[in-house]
Amino acid sequence: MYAFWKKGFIQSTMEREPVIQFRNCTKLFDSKTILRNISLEVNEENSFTSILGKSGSGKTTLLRLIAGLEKLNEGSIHIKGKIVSEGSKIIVPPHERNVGFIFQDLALWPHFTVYQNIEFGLKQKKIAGYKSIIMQTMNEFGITDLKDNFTHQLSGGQQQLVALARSMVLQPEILLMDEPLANLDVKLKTQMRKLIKQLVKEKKVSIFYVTHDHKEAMEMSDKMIVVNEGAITYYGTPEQSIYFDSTFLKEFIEV
Amino acid sequence: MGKTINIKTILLLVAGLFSAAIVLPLGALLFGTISGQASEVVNNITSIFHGDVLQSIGNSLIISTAVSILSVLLGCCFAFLFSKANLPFSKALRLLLLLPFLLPSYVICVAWNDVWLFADVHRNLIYSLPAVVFILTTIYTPLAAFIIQAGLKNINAGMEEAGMMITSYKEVFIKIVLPLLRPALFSSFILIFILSLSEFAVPSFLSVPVFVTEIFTQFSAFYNYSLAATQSLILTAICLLLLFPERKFLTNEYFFPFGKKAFRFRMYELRNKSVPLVLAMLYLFFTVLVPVAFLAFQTFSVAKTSLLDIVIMLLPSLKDSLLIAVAGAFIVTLFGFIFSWLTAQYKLKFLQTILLFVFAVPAIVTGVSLIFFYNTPSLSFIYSSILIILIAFSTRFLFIAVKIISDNLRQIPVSYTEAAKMMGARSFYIFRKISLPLLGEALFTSFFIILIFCLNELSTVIMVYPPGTSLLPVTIFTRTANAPQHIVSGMSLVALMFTLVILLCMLFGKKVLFNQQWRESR
Repeated sequence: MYAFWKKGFIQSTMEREPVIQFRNCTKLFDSKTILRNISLEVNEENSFTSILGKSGSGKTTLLRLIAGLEKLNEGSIHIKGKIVSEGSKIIVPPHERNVGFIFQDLALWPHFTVYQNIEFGLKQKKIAGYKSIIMQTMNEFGITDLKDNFTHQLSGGQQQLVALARSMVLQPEILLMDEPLANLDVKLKTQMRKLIKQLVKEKKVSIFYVTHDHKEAMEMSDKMIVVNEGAITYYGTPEQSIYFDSTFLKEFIEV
Repeated sequence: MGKTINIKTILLLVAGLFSAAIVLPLGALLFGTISGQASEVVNNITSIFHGDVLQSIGNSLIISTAVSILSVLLGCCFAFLFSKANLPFSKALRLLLLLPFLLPSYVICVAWNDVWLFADVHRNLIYSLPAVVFILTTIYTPLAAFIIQAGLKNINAGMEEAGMMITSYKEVFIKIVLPLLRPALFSSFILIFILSLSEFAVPSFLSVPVFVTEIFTQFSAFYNYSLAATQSLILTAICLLLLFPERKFLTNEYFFPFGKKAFRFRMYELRNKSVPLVLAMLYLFFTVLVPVAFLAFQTFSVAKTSLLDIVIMLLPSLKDSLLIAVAGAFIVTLFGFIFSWLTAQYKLKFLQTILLFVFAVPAIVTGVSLIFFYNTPSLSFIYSSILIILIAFSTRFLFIAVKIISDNLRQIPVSYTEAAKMMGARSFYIFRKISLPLLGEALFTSFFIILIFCLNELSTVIMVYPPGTSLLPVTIFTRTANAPQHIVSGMSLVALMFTLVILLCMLFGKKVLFNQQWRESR
């Protein structure tokens, strides 16, 4: 099984530059090892990749390393063939990586309206005609009516939409999501999952989605990265994961 | 990246220089004392065992212990009633309770003096140790209530509710709430002990000899600087030793976060609201309203007295005091922000601990150390100008500003700035657009609180104010010795009204500037 997975892995690598590549990456916090010498290539563009693992396994750290919000201790990270972090150096700063980030708490600025929240990034990037882009994005996400509202006046689902719109308006190639649906009820979660899947198709964006919910990961993902105690236990499709020879994985996904 | 390093270096340099200006004098005082002739040092130390000095130390310890115990007990009751129980008018009552802490202590002392003289209380009782304890308790009870209230707010409702599933609320309060509240109780006890140990105005006004007045006498009446310095160090050592075990709680706990509800908070439903309400109102009536009313009564009891005349008489002091206090509040708030930002950004927690220890140094010792350090030919430009007062204010109040600002800075999720960083915003832009608006209320409050403290500060200022400067607390305090009672009361009333006007400006300003809906939701 492992050979089969590795073969497909090498074949696709030969075709194009990987979306994300980790090479011998180690990350420590104080003296505690969070990620231990991990190497990984994610080759599929415009795909949905879940990062799955228990609490404290290092999944959020993995995401923050891709974003450039954390420095490595050893190794290097490449995005589309370009080296972005190496050793303890950030080679490409977060805002130049063309990566969007949806935080677990969504990080919607409470003193800005919905419109101002979405406007912020476009203004920073000095994009001409940004007003029409905002209106178009708000229209796509169905939040035009909320443009003058402050974020506390929105429901949980509406806040998710604003956070998505705020990231997507900058047309990132990669969207990183850190358990964004954790605080929603089941019905809203289902709706949001559909919307995110739709995003992958329409906007041509590669999504990396941190979750500890294996059912959610199995249902939504094209590929899954399973992290356990700072190491990558599995990378592959959800279907293949059932046959993968790992006690931890079997227990975790309740096979 | 280079820019970040530069900003960090510059800020660290500024903070370092500023710290040096306030910490070095204390170090110099210590060094100057222990590096003197051995026989002199020994003589100075043994002098504390002489009858009068020993009695003053005894008085100081009795006053501090009694005030701390009473203030914590009362503070605990008020904290529970005004923030944990559903008592009507609790917001207004809380504000009224805070008043004696924000007013100059000499004003409160004059007011109580008026009350007791009117009630024909025997002079031996007025100018006595219990009178000092009583007045200081009314002053420091609000501080205890404030700290304990913060402790109560930090208790998650879940912990109480889990206990309530098993036993009565009374048991839950004793076995769960009180133990969780222990750090707040101990901290307020120690803080009040230190503050009352270094209180100068009240014992001095009521002619009760305490260790602080002994130091002041040695310094300004007998010019025995080395003895004053040694005694100052003994007093400082007592304060720092007391503070040491509670330093982590005092620097780490949230005392001043605005708005944000970190936990679900459980309110206690009072079965009978009228009894605690009446008791609280009676306390506030007798400890706040009666003395203030008597101050006014005493002022206007003499027909020829006009409040306007007193205001005109105090005008130069009012003007000087306001200008220097505004400058002090601005500098302290600015550096409070720099220190808080450095602490948060680069995890330099030791900065806050140093400032806490500086804050715990008795005011009179601060005064002595500033004179020792700055009254030299090379630094006389500081000593002979208002800069010395600004340094004194910073030494006394920087910790409070840092506490107010950092408590709020810590409430801003890191993800807010990280989200802006992901979109390409530069550090200064993120600061201007994200951090500053969210921190505005804390900076505003810090400025006004420090302004009130600067206006009322007597203990340090009385030792270091340069010639030609007329400061309100010093003017009133020095005139109490020879001015008629109604003039002293009138001056105190003016000082009180001045503080109240600033307090009202703060409340009004907060209402106008920070009334946005999103703040309430945080």
